[in-house]
Amino acid sequence: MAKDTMIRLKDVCKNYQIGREVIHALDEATLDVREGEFVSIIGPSGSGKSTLMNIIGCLDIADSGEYILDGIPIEDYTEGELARIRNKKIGFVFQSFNLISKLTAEENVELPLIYQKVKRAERARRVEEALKRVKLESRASHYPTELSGGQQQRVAIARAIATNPSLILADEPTGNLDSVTSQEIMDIFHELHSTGHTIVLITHDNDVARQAERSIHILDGRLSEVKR
Amino acid sequence: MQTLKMALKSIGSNKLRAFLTMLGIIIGVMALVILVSLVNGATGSVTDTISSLGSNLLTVSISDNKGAPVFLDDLRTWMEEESIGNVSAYTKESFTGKYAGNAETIDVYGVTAYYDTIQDLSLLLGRFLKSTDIENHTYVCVINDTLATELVGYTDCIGQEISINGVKYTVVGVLEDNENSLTQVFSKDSLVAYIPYTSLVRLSDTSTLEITSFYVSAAENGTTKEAEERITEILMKRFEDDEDAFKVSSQDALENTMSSVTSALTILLGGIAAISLIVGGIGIMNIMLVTVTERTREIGIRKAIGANRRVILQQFLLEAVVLCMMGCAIGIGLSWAILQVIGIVVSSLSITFKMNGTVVLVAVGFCFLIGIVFGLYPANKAAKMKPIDALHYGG
Repeated sequence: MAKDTMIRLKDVCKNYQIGREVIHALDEATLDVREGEFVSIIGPSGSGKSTLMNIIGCLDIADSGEYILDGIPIEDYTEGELARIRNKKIGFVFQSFNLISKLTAEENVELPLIYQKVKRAERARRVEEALKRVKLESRASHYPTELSGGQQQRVAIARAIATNPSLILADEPTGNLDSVTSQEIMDIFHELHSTGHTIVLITHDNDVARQAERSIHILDGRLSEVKR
Repeated sequence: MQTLKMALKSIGSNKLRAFLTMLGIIIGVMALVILVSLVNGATGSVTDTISSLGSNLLTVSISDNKGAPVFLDDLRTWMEEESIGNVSAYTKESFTGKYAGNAETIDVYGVTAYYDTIQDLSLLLGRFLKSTDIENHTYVCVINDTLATELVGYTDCIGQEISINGVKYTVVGVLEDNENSLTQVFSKDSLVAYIPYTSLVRLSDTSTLEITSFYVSAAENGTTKEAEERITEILMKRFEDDEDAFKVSSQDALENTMSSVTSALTILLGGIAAISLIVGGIGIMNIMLVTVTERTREIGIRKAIGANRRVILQQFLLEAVVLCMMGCAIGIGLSWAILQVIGIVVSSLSITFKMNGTVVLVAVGFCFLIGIVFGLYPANKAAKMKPIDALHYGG
């Protein structure tokens, strides 16, 4: 298997100062994720999971270390360039869904495509396709408040895959859902994985983490491979 | 286009708040449009009145005759001039007029023939004074309708004798109370009698045959300007090139004064209205700041999925501008309605209040500017938010 490296983190550090205390949210974190892999990152709250997610998702920039996403070194990018990378390369799925409540499911999925300046007809086609993949085409014109939690998360996944990103980054995607719905969501991730998407899933739930090909444990900002 | 749709949607999602925010702009625009339109309407009607008083009229007054007084014969000579139409001397006195026991104070004008033509007076009955009346110092008078009804008791009083300052005058003509005559505009309901200039000189202690003021009209095929130049030239020659010895004034001067007064008024009122528009703009800024804070999370989501600064800035700026322009449109619509209503209410005053096109354009431009200026700060605040801070805001 000579697949390209999707994510390469090398000695990444990120510190926060709270009062007088300096918190090492990430301490020389090193991580490689290959294209097409399904990796879960597991750790208790406060372990630096969210910081790692922010850095991988280009929402934040590391204090030191090296981060290469799909061949692009990220460190020196301006805010505008980071926005473009997030738009094109990364699809986010959040714990709290983070849909825009004033927009319908369809419009939510369409939003990243608008930012990419995709033509209207092409947008419509891709929105329909993405909603079909999460089996929500019948709910396209519903507002998020009219959908159940599981359905909202499926809309969020549709939004993440609509741009056809290199990486799907999921932050506790099942954290707000019951176990049955969680499994439905996980099934979608498996389906996406089987069609070649690279997925990084962050969770504190061992059952969820175990479903990934590979699990990485994070504690106090340090990463370690989970042996199976 | 997509951004516009989003802006409309987000304004529509809180209609009451949007309306209250717009209210400042609506009131500002209404103040601006209505006040300026009213001033313009009033000005228009006043200027119309002034120009209908005969814009070919020149008033000449002589303050220093330099030993060469002007007599009636001189006026007659000047009337021969090519660019000059009619010339009529006039002098005004106040006398007591009596008729069969009635007594009134009358404005008595000593004039010459053609005064009626120059002043555009119209006769109801009889005739105006003729050159022969002037030459023969006859005791005839032409009175206005008001005087006829007040003193004599009825309009048709040709041939009646009224006593002016104790001298009996025969009425030979009755004039219409012409709303458009200069004397009528400035002294409404006054009792007026016109008698030959020469005849007045005999009644009066102050008026003499040395004429100190007279009217000049332009020749039929000439302009007032030419007449003004010609009469000035003649008088300069006569009065040893002393331009302070006499004064030639035209109605143009009056109109100019009028328009400079009203343009000052327009600027003043427009300025006050503009202040209220700016206050409205501050209201917009205030609400936009609240909106930005409220929608911090939305901004975070948008940034996470790839919106850059410019897109967010555009979105919130457009929202502010759309809010302003909607307020502007409503304000202009309401102003139009109110001006229509005012127009109906004052229709009897023969003043027309039309919406002024320029002020509408100014209002639209100004609103747009206010939207940009007061929308920029909140929009920039939104655009500057860091995606992670915004995402984790309030949960």
